[in-house]
Amino acid sequence: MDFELPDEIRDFCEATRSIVNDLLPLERDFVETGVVPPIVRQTLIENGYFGMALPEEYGGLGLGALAQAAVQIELARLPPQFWTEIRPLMGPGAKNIAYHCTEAQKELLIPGMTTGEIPVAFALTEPGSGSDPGSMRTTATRNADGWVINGSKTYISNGKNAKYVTVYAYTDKSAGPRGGISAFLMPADTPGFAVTGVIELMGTSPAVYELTFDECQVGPDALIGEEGKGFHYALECLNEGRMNVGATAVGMGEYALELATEEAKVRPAFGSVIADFQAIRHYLAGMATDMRAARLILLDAAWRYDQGEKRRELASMAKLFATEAGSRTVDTALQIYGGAGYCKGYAIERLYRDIRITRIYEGSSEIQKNTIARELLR
Amino acid sequence: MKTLVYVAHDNVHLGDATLATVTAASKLGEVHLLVAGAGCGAVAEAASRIAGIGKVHVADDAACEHQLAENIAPLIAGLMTDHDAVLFPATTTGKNIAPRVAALLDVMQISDILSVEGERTFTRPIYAGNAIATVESSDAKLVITVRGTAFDKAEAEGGAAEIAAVASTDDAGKSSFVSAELAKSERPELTSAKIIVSGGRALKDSATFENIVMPLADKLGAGVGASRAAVDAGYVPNDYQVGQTGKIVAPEVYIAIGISGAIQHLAGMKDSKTIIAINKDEDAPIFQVADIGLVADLYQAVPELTAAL
Amino acid sequence: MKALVPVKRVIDYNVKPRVKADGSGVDLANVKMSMNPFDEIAVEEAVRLKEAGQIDEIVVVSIGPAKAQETLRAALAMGADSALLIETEEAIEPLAVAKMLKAVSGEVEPGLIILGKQAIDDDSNQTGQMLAGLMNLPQGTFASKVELEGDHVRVTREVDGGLETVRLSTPAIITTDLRLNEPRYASLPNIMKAKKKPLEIKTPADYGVDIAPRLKTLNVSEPPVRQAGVKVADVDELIARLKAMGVA
Ligand SMILES: Cc1cc2nc3c(=O)[nH]c(=O)nc-3n(C[C@H](O)[C@H](O)[C@H](O)COP(=O)(O)OP(=O)(O)OC[C@H]3O[C@@H](n4cnc5c(N)ncnc54)[C@H](O)[C@@H]3O)c2cc1C
Ligand SMILES: Cc1cc2nc3c(=O)[nH]c(=O)nc-3n(C[C@H](O)[C@H](O)[C@H](O)COP(=O)(O)OP(=O)(O)OC[C@H]3O[C@@H](n4cnc5c(N)ncnc54)[C@H](O)[C@@H]3O)c2cc1C
Repeated sequence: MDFELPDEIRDFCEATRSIVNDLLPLERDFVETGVVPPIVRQTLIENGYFGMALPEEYGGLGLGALAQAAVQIELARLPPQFWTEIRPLMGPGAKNIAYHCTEAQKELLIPGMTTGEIPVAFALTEPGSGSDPGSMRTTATRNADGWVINGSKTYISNGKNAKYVTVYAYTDKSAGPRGGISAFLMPADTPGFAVTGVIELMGTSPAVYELTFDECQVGPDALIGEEGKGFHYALECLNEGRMNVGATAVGMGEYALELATEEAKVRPAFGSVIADFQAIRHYLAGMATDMRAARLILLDAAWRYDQGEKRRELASMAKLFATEAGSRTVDTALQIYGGAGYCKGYAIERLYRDIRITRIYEGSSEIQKNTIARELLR
Repeated sequence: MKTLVYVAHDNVHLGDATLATVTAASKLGEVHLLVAGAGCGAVAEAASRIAGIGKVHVADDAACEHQLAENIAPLIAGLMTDHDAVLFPATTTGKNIAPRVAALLDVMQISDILSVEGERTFTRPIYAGNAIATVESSDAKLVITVRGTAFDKAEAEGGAAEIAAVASTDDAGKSSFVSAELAKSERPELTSAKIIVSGGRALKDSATFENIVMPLADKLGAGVGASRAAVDAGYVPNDYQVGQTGKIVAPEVYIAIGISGAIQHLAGMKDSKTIIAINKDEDAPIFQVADIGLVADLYQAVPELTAAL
Repeated sequence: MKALVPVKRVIDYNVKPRVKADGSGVDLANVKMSMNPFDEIAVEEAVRLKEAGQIDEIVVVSIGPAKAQETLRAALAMGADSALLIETEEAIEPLAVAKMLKAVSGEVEPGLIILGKQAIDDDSNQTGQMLAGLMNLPQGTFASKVELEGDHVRVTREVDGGLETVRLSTPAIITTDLRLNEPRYASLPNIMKAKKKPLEIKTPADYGVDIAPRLKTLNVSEPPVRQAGVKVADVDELIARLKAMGVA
């Protein structure tokens, strides 16, 4: 058993760490102006991050799950607004394109996705249909020119900037989700498509979007892969998405642990520093143990995935544990910081807000437990 | 031991850095000086008046005019048949020439010494001054550069040493001087200033640096320094930089304005007698070394201070 | 024309070094190590010259422990073409490094050798000048600008009084100062490409260079620590203290 990351992945992490360290000071500008300095996006694109998970033949890097997780852990130290655009490029939407689109579609899209010229969005969730996507109401009906999409989606990251949206819709309600839902690649300039709502958030990206599809006519080639396989495609790629969310939680938790450790060493109280008090020391010990376990369970799942052991419960356990442990750690870090931890301008304050979503999206903690239990009891 | 000290100069004036180097050399033995330049008679005169030295060798030759290492190093290597040690001030010129001499003599140089502990034993800073190494040389000849702030200055007057011409080696023909852009300033030179006012990244731009830092320096008759961040951002020229890779200073009073106190900056000024820091961040590392700290916005505090002096 | 760029693995510049209690040196166990920042600048300069079509090939070399392969890989990822590690676990002094580099230059025949002006561990600031002396080549130290002009190179140097420009015939030796350039990141795609570039490993014995140290380190100690002083409440109090010191 060798628990060291392979050399190449370690190099990725080191390179990423130095980029992150150089970009972190820009957080101050971002906090003051609310605008992410353009150099951030440019740096991430130039250094290959947009194409990390995309196939090499089309200009991506084709990194495996382990490499992606390790790099995401590093990137997650940056405010999420600096890297939210990368999430859809690593998640199910992009994977659906890479795995199931035609050669022509891939050539059209993927090179532009790696350079940031073609932003994409993944539209699965609907109002009232989140954890249970089978209850979606959006439909696609075949006609002479291809398909007509009707319905609405919500909470869609990148929904406003996207040039293409992967949309999941019922093509045959009677066949149920497995067999009845299909995936489509829809250009954002399709008549009838509109961004009808901006949903502001507690943290993470500035907003997510509500999308409306009103008689959206797309060609026959808009269908991704086979008709009726959409649900399967969406779920197939959730494993990878879940590990990536787990990775962001590990990165945020580790960062919070580091900040809290440094703070405890210098924060004066009662004639010494708070790191001298056993209560604080025990906090730090618990956080460090949590984060070590989180890192290991995540990297183990990712490594096994790369070896072909794509068991769903491994990704679920990794996401569940990493996001819960990361959240506990950030919460305790804020406690160690005291009042300052609750103040804008301190990284702990944003970590506290930003990590919260990791227990919800790409399958909430409860849904992960359902998956784990289902596999256990199978 | 017979030592040779390389005299710092610009063909007109004798550089201050020479005097501390003479003090270091005198701890090893008899001190001879070398003035290598062109039309440098006045420098040789001044050198001969330094207290306690033996002889001044002068190589007055066109090939030496710009003190190019390619031409000076063989000259010194030749003189080393009669000397046991050669000491250079750790100026950019000294640092440029000394290792080339060491290579010609097949000797390991000892850089930037802080003290002389014995005939062949010296202390020197490593890791940006975060550690001090005591090293002993086993080489037959010593090649040394001397940190100016670590030694007292020898008396500039009082001696009457013999001046002897030495033949320069020919121009090696591999390098030539093109031009120099040297800052002309009425203010005291950094490495010899008694008071230094230094500005950091917080000064925003060169006009602001000029308006905030310079008036205070003028009031105090101080030299002006800067952090690397301020130099990199173009507020002031490179020769203002204080630190591990800039100038090493140790004035009576060092006033750091809007400088965070990175270890590389501290390496250049932490031997100052009194350090005063003005910074709006009460946790800035500079306060860990400052004797007097003022947590304040420099844009208010500094003009107020200047006006009140 | 080829460029040879020596790189050294040193303690990362962000890490505050700790002196070992027994005075034998600085504790490097479990400390983050990186490429010497000045060497990164040297690699960057060579890569820029190559991108400008003025240099055809960049060879990077490190003399140091097996782990220095990581440093070489980082240089390859920045754009160097091939790497050579002269592997030794001994601490090697600048003079011996310069002798080894002279031997390597004999094989590579570079038109430019670009080195960092100093390594941030022992702060010697010697290797480039020594190599120039040993090879009898011209030297442009503390460079803030490098311009290749046919078989000459014009180097602007950071000197105590400001800037100085010299013109050197090639082959020439250049040592870098901080403002020469801003090194690029090793990007993910380039790290992947670097994996496939050649990295040769040799030993000092292959070059017949005597690496026995000439300096013996008797002791390494902490410098005297400065104690934090007082914080004053306002400018008036600061002025009062300055007056008390006789400064104002
Ligand atoms: C910032 C952000 C970005 C997002 N980006 C996207 C995107 O790009 N594309 C996209 O399609 N979606 C996106 N989403 C939607 C996200 O995936 C859903 O919010 C998530 O799946 C949960 O669905 P829901 O909000 O409808 O909650 P619900 O499904 O209504 O769940 C509410 C609560 O009930 C629990 N629950 C539900 N079912 C069960 C069960 N069977 N057993 C036990 N407990 C259960 C849940 O765990 C949760 O605690 C995003 C959401 C946010 C906030
Ligand atoms: C190999 C290497 C060598 C280096 N060599 C040197 C060197 O020789 N010398 C050197 O200086 N650095 C050197 N550095 C750089 C060093 O690491 C730091 O980056 C640099 O010293 C920071 O400069 P600064 O303190 O001006 O800027 P910052 O670290 O950005 O600090 C600015 C400070 O200004 C304060 N401030 C901002 N606004 C105000 C205001 N309105 N009022 C009051 N305070 C304010 C802030 O609180 C902050 O503390 C080197 C780095 C490397 C890697």
